[in-house]
Amino acid sequence: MSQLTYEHVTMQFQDVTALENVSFTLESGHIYGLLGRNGAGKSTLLSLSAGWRRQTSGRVLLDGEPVWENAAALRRIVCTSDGNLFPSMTVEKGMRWYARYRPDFSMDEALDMAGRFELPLRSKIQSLSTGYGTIFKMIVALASNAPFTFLDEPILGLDANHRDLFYRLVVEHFAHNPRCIVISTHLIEECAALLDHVVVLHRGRLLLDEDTEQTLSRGYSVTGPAAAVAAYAAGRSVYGEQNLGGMTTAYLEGRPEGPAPSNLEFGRLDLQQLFIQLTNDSERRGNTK
Amino acid sequence: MKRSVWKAPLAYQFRNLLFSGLIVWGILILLPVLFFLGLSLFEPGEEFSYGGTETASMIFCFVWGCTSWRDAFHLGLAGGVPRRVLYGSALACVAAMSILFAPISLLVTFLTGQLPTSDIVPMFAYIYGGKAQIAAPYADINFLLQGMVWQAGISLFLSCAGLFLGCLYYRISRWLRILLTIAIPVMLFVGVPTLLSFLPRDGVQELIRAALSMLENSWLTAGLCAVLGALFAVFGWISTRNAALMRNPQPSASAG
Amino acid sequence: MNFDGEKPIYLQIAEQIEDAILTEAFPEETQIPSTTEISATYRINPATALKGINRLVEEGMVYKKRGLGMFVSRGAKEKIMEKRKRDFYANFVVSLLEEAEKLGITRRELAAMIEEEETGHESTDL
Repeated sequence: MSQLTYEHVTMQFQDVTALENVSFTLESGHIYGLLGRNGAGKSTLLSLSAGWRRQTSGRVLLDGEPVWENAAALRRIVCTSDGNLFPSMTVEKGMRWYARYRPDFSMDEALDMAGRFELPLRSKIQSLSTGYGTIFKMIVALASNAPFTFLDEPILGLDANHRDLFYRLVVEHFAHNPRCIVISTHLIEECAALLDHVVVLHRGRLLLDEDTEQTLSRGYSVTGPAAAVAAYAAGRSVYGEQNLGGMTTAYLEGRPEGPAPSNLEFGRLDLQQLFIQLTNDSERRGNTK
Repeated sequence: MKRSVWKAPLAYQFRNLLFSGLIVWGILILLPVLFFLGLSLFEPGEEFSYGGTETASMIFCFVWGCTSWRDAFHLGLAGGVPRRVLYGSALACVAAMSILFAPISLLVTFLTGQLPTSDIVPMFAYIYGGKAQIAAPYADINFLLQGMVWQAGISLFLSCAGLFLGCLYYRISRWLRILLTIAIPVMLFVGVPTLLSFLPRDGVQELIRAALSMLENSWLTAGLCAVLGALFAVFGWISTRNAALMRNPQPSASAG
Repeated sequence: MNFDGEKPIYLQIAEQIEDAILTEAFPEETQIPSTTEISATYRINPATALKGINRLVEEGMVYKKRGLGMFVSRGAKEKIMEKRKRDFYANFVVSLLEEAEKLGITRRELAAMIEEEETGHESTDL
């Protein structure tokens, strides 16, 4: 069982603190969601994980060894970038070159995925559309079979069919080679069922690092007339609420003690709602964990 | 199945060098041949002289040093290779190029010199040879060797300086890049003479004389260039060892 | 499959397989799809699919044949039928009565509605 550990990681740019004292651990055998709003520090965290940047302070360790400039660790971590890192060449040539760098790269898997996405092998990588650019990066990352695979916004620019295919491929590849896959995204709804663990960053701080089921069972929703919901929610810890006309849905912490009062309805939290409420919440309360 | 982490970045560097090298040497052979054909068609019997091969080879070394870094760095980081391996590969490629291009350059000069109406003599012979050596530059093996070492030294200096600039350009902002691009030639052609004019006359002349006397010896020149090249190689590493990956690279810089 | 937010996904997976056993889409002593197939088909985490299947194993609906996969137990259909009947009271009858009460529908009216629905079906059959 391999572990990628972040210990008190801080990344300071000139006047921006992109990450502040972030500590958590990624383990193989899980599909993680790295969630956060734009500018939350997701890309920075990925950069540090891949050794593309050096953290200002703290440590990033793969099985206890620092990742920075460590050949043995770096070859076990693969990361897609939000920019194009390939020189001017065709898709197929790009794959063949990348295969030379990655010890466990499977050209068969890469070509199979390219076929299923109808990715044109003879096109120049630079001339691909946004969607196909994302697909190309995702294919080479998955085909690398690295124990730690980071996918940065992997559905950016993908149409509905391709997104669906992407989720299927992630599951297939994960089942075939149970590594650690980290999906970094701010589009949660679609991939929520894939994630067995969520890590939420907000304004450079770690807000949540938890089993998905556990997270979702931390609270529940109550829907009903605004006044009744307000009465029920009084004295309970509220993540947030949504209003539609006179109807209110409140997201509450904990479990309901008994059956719902006749004019109210209980529901489960969903990840997207919880995420929105949590990241709004801490905005109001001002960055408390 | 442990593969060396050096293999892929070295392969990438040398494959690119092979490709660009074939093109540049193809052109450098073709140019005198075209001169020859043009002359024999339009001005039959006219002799022509041509001395661009060595200079072109040296300039190529500089440009290669400047431009070869960015793509190799990006692909290497994406491929999970440490910076020291990437920089080491680039340096190995640059050094091999500087050394290899000296004999190639001599060979091309020799071959194009065999064209019936050409008068092509190695640049080295003009600078360091006597009358006899200009007349028959290929007679003395030791002299040829001396010439190759001289050219390799200068090429090494230029390619390492190029690599350093390539690494430095990667790290600095766009405005600093433009500033630096303007500042270097201005420094060389305006700054240095201006500086010299402020120094006492005798001192300046002595300084220039001393410098020139060093350059009169090709071995010394080659050695000095090699040392300066090594210095630039160290500077390059200093600017690269902590370099962060620049995201969203501008397409104009990575194309071609 | 659309997962509704009311139940954990692993329970919905378990129910989906139970439905298939009930309708004999998966007859007794035949193999059910693997965890990988289920998770890839529904785009869910394999651990979730496994949790759903494990629930069926615990209830004796399916069993593992070593090296082959998961198979529907003998008598699984019967068991599911019984369980569903028990659940039917809790899930449907109780909530039906609750809803009827909210709407002021009496027991008699309710019975008449059910009667009507049945005869309605008969008339379309004729």
